[in-house]
Amino acid sequence: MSAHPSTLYSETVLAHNRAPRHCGCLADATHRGVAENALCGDQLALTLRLRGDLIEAAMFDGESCAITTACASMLTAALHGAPRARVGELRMVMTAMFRGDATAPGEFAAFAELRHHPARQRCALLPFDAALSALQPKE
Amino acid sequence: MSRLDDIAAIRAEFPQLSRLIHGKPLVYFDNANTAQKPRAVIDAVSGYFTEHNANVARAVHTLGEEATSLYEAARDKLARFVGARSREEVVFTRGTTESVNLVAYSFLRPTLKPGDEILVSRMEHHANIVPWQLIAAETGARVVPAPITDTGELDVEGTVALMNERTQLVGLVHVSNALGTINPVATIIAAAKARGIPSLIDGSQAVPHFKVDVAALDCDFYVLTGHKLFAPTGTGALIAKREHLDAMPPFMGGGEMIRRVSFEGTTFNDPPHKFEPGTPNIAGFIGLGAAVDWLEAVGMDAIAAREARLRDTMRAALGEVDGLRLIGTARERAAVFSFVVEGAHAHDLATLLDHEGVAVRSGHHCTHPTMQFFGVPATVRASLSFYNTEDEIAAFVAALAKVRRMLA
Repeated sequence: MSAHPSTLYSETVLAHNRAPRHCGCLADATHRGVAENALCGDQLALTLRLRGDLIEAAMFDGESCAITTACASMLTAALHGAPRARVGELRMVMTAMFRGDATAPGEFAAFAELRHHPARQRCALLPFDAALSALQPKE
Repeated sequence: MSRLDDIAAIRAEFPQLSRLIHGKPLVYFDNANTAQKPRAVIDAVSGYFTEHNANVARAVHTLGEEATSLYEAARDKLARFVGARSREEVVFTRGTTESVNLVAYSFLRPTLKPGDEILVSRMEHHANIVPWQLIAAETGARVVPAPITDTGELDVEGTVALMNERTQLVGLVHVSNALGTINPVATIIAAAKARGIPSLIDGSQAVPHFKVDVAALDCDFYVLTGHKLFAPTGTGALIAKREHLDAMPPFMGGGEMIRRVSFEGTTFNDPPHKFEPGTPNIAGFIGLGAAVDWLEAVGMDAIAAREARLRDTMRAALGEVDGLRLIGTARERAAVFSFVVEGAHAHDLATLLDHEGVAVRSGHHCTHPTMQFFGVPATVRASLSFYNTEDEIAAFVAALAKVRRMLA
């Protein structure tokens, strides 16, 4: 039984969706990754600029649902000035939150309701997967 | 006078239609995904387990005879329902996907050569694309897409023009699950036949909506699934010409499909049992028989007439919605509507519509090539059945307006 979905579409999520931050592509990106949601065909591209292990800037690009867009907006903001390991750490907290075992920090807590929407969890994880793909060593 | 004139009484026969979703009456517009089940089907399934449970075609005791009679009666009913030439031409499968795979591996693959072609339309469900791709990759054959138009109709001339001496099979969906288009299958079957090419028609979305006469269509293979036909999941059928079933090797081996087994060699049972190894989904097929009985009692012509009215009402209502683009505007169509809405993603719309009690599907509907053709990653699909009402269409349109305001 899913909960009231309007709690999923909270004002935090809707505001990020209306005016997403860091939307576009970094001209001086050092890393680029793409992730696709097989359920709906959404594609999200993430560009990062790294200095050593530190992420200096992040932007996302792609047409996606409100959940993906809002999460990408939050993630790109959270990654500015963060160590590269932050992506994997945050993703783990998100999936723990979907199991009901944790609360994600800051605005990411707005996605707690996804616990009751298993089919939509992938939407919030898409930006993380694009970032992880960007950070993966390329051959 | 049709039983459908008393729609409240008809709806009362489908227990799930009276459910509340988030405190609102369920508006079930996801019938192309799976249909709700009438009490007659639920009772037939439960009656099998409470009264007749036994294995089929093996046991000689009373329960075994009862189970076998009920199971085989379902075959007779389905054969009559779809106008099969004989009950022996109805092979029970787990659904359309298994039916297509059976034809791919048992009929086509043994003779497929490099350079051979399998012609299927651009509006096929993945179930009528991927099995052909798999056997094409193994044999060096190729799958050729038959063209469709911007309105989501089959380009008949373009399709016939692609039939040639290399074409080994033509596959076509009778009613498109993503676009609602009703295809001119008789024309394509006749064109293929004139060139000596066997045809396969995917009738999954056709048989729930109007009377289908497989013998009159004269296709070589007609495939369908039970769960869209108000029957349990895990039921389906392949209706095939007897000459093919006689010539085709078994798809899977095991019990029931054999006549005599020895380590020197095994002789196989006659069709359709040759293609039904192991203990089948007995309860499910008994439910399928009950579904077919129920539909015939209501009348497929009455169902088609009611759905045509609902389709026209829905089409007019969708036409009033600003920024809504219908994907597929074929003249001949079922009450299945795919659409995109400016500024609102399909998944957001579907989740928020659910909050209003409206069940629709969002996504690619297992038709990636169709979505690619129309340049959209995903659509919302509202698919109606005879048990839906004009009031539900009005509730759907009001809910759509409300959720769009939320996303704006």
